[in-house]
Amino acid sequence: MNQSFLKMAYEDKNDGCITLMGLECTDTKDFNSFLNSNVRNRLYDIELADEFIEHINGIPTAKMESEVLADILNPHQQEKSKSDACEALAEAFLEMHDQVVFPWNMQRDKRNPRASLPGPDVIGIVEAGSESRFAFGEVKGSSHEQFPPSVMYGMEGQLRKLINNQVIRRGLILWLFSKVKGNSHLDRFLEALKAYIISEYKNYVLFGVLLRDTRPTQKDLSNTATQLTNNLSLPTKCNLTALYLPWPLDDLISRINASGTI
Amino acid sequence: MEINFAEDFSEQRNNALDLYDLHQIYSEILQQEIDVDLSLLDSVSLVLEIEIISLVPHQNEFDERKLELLRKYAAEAFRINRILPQPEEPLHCARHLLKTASLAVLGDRGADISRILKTEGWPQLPINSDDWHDRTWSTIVDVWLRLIRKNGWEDRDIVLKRIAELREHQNQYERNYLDSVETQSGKKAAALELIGLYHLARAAEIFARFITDGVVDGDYQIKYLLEAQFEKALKPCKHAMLVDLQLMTPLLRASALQMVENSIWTVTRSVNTRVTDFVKNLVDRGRGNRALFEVLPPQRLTLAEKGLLGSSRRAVVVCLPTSSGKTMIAQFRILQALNQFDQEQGWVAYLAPTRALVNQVTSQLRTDFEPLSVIVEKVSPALEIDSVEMDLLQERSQKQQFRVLVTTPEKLDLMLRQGWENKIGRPLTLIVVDEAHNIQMGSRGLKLELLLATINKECEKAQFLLLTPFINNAKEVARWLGGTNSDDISLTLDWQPNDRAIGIVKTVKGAPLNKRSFDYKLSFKTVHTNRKTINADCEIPIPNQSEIAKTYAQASKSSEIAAIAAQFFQERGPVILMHSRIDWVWALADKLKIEENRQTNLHDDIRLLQDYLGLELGENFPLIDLLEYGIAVHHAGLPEEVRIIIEWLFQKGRLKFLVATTTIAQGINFPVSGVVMASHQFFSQNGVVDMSPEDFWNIAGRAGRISQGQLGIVALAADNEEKADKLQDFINKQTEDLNSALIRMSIEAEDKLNDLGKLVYSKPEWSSFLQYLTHSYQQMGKPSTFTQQVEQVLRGTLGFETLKTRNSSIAQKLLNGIHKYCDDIQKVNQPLGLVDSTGFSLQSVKTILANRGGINESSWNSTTLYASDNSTLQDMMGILLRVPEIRDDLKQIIGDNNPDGNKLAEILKDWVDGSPVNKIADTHFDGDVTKCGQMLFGNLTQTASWGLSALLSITANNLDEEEKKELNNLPAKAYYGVNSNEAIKIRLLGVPRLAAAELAQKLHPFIDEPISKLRKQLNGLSQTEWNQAMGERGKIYCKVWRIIEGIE
Repeated sequence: MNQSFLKMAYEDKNDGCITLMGLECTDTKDFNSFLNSNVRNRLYDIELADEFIEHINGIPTAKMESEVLADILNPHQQEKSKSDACEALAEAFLEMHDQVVFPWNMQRDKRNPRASLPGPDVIGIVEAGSESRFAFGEVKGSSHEQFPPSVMYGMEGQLRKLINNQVIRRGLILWLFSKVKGNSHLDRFLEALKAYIISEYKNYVLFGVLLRDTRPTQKDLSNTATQLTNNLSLPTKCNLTALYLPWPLDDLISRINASGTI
Repeated sequence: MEINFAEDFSEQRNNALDLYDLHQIYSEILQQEIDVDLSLLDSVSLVLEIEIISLVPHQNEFDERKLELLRKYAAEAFRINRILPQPEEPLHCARHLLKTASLAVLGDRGADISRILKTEGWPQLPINSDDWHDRTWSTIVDVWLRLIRKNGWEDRDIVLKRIAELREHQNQYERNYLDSVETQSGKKAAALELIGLYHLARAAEIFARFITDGVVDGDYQIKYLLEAQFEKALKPCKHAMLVDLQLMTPLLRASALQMVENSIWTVTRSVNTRVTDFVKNLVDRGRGNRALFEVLPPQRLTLAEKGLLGSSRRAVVVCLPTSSGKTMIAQFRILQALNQFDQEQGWVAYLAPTRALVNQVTSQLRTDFEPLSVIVEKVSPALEIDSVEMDLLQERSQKQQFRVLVTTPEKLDLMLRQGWENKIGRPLTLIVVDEAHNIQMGSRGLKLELLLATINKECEKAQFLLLTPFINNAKEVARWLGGTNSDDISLTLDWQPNDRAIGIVKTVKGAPLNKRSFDYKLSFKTVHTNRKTINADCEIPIPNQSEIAKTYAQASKSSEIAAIAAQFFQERGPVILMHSRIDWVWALADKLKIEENRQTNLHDDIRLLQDYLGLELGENFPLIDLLEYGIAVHHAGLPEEVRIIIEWLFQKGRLKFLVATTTIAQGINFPVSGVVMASHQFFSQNGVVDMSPEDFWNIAGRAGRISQGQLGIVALAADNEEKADKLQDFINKQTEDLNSALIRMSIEAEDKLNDLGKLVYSKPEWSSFLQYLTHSYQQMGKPSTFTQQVEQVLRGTLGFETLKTRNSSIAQKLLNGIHKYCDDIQKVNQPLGLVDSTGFSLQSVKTILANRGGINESSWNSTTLYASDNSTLQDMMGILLRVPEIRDDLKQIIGDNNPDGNKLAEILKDWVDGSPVNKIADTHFDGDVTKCGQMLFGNLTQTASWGLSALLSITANNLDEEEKKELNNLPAKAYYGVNSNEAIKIRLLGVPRLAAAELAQKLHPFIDEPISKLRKQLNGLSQTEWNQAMGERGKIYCKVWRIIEGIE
């Protein structure tokens, strides 16, 4: 994909673990095409509807009731939230810009908030030349005229949890394995796993993606970077990226759904 | 899919497993937790889990190599998971446990995890929470943990109850829960997760019904039913990030399917109705926790994977390690054979090497087969057939006929050579040989080999099942008996039900106590073995025991080291100590008689033994006092009944120490916490010899109280470095080929092989070989070309062909000797028939004939033979002292200063007359009760009854059958130590000697009933009736008998 719609607003590679970067998205044909194809494909999942019906029809074989569950899983209710759209955009961006491979459509993988492991927004594998590394990350979107926006405190906490809790990463890796088992991503996964284990759980990449519709400023990310620095050591990498949209964040879903317009 | 990922981390895996070993040793022996490298354990566990998930077979996939890898990695992961810290939150912790449990099942450590779950349980889960998420998850985790634990029917019943409750409450709680989930996508994820969990609930229900019924809703193909539910449980994971469900389900699915494979129903499906009935009984067993739902991995391997039950192989050798449940394997094979020859009412012979094992096996088979109306009987190891046994063997009523006969190889040999297969009138269809590796053990081994060769040749319907520990040449042995129609089933991987550590214990010098003496401690260090035992490079300190030894010098002897180590290890549970000689066993037991061990409240079971010992061996018998300290001894000098009670007490945990001779290694078949060996050798007729690797691993295999999944400890005492090196070599001695004893004997006798008739005088172990030749000659109709045909006869043995291949010159010498011997036996008027009826060689028969003196038909008087004023018995003993086969045993009793049979006759008369052992000891053994017991139980009863029976055959051959039958009980009286035919019957039923006569009186109205009916009568006697028969002693004898019979 042509990345010409991205314009560097600021960048700080401090040679340590953390890189922060602000990118302005220009309202170009390329950007719209990116939204209408890459992002849109992530956001919607046509297959899903049919399989939901199959799940519901299977419930009586377990001798349980299906009525309530059928209500919840009604395939016609495919409304997408703003945060779904943010995640879809962030994933499509990481795939294009950072060579992150998502063996599975993360949009399918909605989290049950009651799960024992916090499911991060991003789980994948970064392919950098011959090396592969696990990628974990969080995505936030904010229109607040506050720098940094308050969502960054939430992101900081979530990233810190991922950094500090090996058990969580372990669970996520095992989960990821279930998604690469038997497909072409397996070799990359095993490479990443080997690198991860040999480095005593340090060789992986964290991503924090912030979607903004405000003016670009390093302040959006710098505080988070400072706060996380002490928690990180090489070879762990943390890439904090802010994407500055050329229109209001609230328009994101309609922009994704629009086709062929500038 | 195969990823071969774990191999890349083999070094880390080994390090992690070493850590596990170290952790086990510290936590189990010293109750200390060590710091472990959690990062290492965690990463290895991650690697293994990924490899395991990739190896789990999909539906209908079968790849043996992959399955082996899966088992290996799962067993490793199970160990490592065991020492990883568990999450604190109850549900997380239970989920972690369920994963560990699934790994255990996949790693063939199902019995282990079942025990762990029984003893440790899992945290209290919110099964009844109003929160449907927690309630559903808790139910699923709880029911699957129960299905893996399988604590009898109770767990299964609770599983069904919990799932019913889940269904009942779905409407009440489900909607509230889903409404409470915040976002729409979160709600969907929660709904999808519930769908997955409901399918896991249904899968649990299906499996719970299957384990007890073998069928669910009329469907026997349970795997497909389960697969369908697991598939539906996993599918929702495609649509939501259901990490918990996604991580749990694949392993749970694999372990559930493995448990189906382990199920007794799967293993025994479609064999025959008798087997199915047997399984129903095992599963039903009172709906209590003795119910058996699963077989052990070695049993699964043998019965199902290697197809023992489906096969029609005539000879099968099954090589499995100790504690593999060989008896049950035999039971299934027995039922198969009985069914195969049901029309002919075929019977099965189960051969066990010792009297104790004959009793144990009989008791178990009887209990298990009684509900199937399969009658199990034993005949005594006495080498004679008394009238009671004659009736038992020739029972004509189908309902009362035995179908399984348990005995020793020697007895069956005698029976068959005396034509008992014909007299029984039904075909021998299967011979089960327990501890078949004994084939290589000296004269007894050769006898067993030749017995099997004879059966193979002469019993048309006979099939063979040989049970042994691992041997290298199982195939060869199987082919020997079954030719191409044979099979061997060997478990080369050392499956074991719990962890074991084998090590050497030494004394370490401490600080000076005074000018001459030093303080000390002991040090226990595990050693590497060629089996899968735990080994860690660390020395475990064992504190000194000043009551046992005060100084370094005193503590540096094997016995003291063993006693101090045992004192230390017994805190974990009962310990067996072994020494090579009976007098050393007593001395070792005495060392443990320290104040610390004195029992404050003696259990009634211990008092029972004390009372019984008082009655049987006298109030001063030293074991009575030892019992006050929780110590018992176990050796050949004790009456068999006493040994059985001691084993029973030990198994029930009533004793702290069991001090035994090294010979116990073969007979023990119950778990012990620890084994401490003051010696690894025993005394035999050929001097001091090392215990065989098979015997060592038999006892080592029993270490660890399996009911608690405990680490078994085996400690060998070394009193110096040289001994420590020797012990290390001993422990690592490899199991070799199973070889015929004939090979060793031929090599040893090389220059004397040319005259076998002469050889047998100096080497009586050759007797059975010569008898085999004589028997074959007669069986073939005494052909004049026998000498030319003898090589063909020898082909039937295991040993001769091997000898020819390995050592042709000795084989040729042996063959020359055989030719010469064959020429001799073909001479006219040889008393060949007497060879088969006596179990003696032709030379011995001729010796008796030449020295019989005045012994003839009229010498055999059933009322006077044992009378004090009759000298006939003395003359008979005098003759028997010349017979090579029994001469050495008899001489041991009387010593060199009593060349005639007088002393033997006197002892026998007292014995038969019912004199208590301590009185006999006073009269004949200077009051040494142990020596007396050793001579009576180890030598005299068996040898004298055999000798008398043989003498009877030789000297009273012309009597008619009725007279003979009456006289046949004379040798039995010597064997059982009673003086009436009625009491012999009661003794055969297991009643102790000093109670037999009175009980015979009590049961007089039923005494002529078939033995199985008489047993029922005896079984029905109340304690009061025992008291009526013999006064206050009755209650003691009643309980003792019930213990002996395995009823208590």
